[in-house]
Amino acid sequence: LFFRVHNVLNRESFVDLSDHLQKNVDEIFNTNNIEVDLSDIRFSEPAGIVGLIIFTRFLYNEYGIKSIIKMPNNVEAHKYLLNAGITKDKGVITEFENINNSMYLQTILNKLGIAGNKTTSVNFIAVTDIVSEEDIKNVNKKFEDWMVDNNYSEEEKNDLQVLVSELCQNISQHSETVQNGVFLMQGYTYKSLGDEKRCIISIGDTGIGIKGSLDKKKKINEAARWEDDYTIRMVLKNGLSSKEDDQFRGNGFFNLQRLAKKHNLNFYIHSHGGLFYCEYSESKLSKKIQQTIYPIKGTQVSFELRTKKHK
Amino acid sequence: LYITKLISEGETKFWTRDKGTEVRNKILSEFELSGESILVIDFTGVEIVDFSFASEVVAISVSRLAKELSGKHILIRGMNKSVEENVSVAIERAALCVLIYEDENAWKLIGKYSDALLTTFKLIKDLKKTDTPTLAEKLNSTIPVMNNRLRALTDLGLVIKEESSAPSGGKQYNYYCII
Repeated sequence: LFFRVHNVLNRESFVDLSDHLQKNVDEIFNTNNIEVDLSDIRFSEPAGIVGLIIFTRFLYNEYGIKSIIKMPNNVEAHKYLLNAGITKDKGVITEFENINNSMYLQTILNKLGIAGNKTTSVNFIAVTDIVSEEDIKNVNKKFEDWMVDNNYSEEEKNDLQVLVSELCQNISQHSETVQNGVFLMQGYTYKSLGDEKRCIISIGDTGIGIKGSLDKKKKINEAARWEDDYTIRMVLKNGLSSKEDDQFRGNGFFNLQRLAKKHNLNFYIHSHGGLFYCEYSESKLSKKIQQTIYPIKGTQVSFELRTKKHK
Repeated sequence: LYITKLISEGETKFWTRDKGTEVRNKILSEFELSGESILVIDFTGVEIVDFSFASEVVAISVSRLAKELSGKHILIRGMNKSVEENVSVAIERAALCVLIYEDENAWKLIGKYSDALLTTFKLIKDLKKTDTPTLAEKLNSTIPVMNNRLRALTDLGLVIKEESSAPSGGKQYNYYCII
């Protein structure tokens, strides 16, 4: 049974994957495999890559199903996915078809620091495990370098690094993730928009989700009745904490909303069966999508930062 | 005064709750050993702190002034704009407030507090030493209302409460501002 992603692997691909799972759940369980066909794609965004990692890990963690990912025919898209770390779970969780072995070897050599053309650009941080404080400091340092290169103010640099730090800490402190949480960043330059620069960061885990975290600690009694999408909305609004007897926690999502408004970010949150997407423009909410999907365990937060105003 | 400089070990950026817990434990244990009653947390030179770090170092320390650190006081100084914003959010989310004190003319409360609490604090500061009936009279309020405000200010470590004997033979309390 296969599912084909057309043209772009992005956050919407994750919704499509969830729909596909819902419609074909019996067949997937009977055949005990699924193929995600990326042969048609030409472009991948961090939210799509992290979403695919969460999706394949979920199938493995919940049902022991190994996913097969068919790699893109487009050379650049193929190379990009390898460099981004799409093969991170190769072996037990995922297998790959149509993989270009020479590119794959080159990627492995790059990661080992053996090959000569190892990328040093701060425009890109491949899938990185978030486990320790040191991991958070390291990804934040690279993110800071990107912001320095793109003329961000001190205030913006500080605010956004704080946001990355808080979101990464959510993984290590609250998520109870099965596999290590992951971080991925990509900077873009849009020639068609007068060299506008953008940066997308995506952070994900395969843990108990925001609602699961609240339910477990029984911090918010009424949360037991909330749907996943409504829970996301409430934590954004109120910064609810899942930590029992602790009034000092739970600021990560509250601050995401606050800083999105302040810095005109677009952000996207998936947590189990809930999705939430917001766009801010001129410090006002310009678009909001709240929806339910077939529940896929884990949480993903992505946000996009634009630099147009600096040009 | 016991003054602790956060950058004393060379770091200027402070991330994560774990780091905050480590720093807070060190600061509070050294403060208690010093025997001083006022802790000054000096952020001079600190470029950035995240909310989790600020929450551990400032908000949790301030919350303890009402419990195991009863009778002690905390001041903050030297914060840049970004650090102040993050500390403010952390302490406000914990429904607490703390005093930033740079000098006699540059001080303010940050966090969550009512106008009435600020008014009372300012009056105590102006009066240097006062008691509940005096405050109630000057603010045209009642003694129970004043007692509630004074309890809040004492729990936040913003005033010093001192017991003395009343002329009638009972107990009475005098209040001093910590700055």
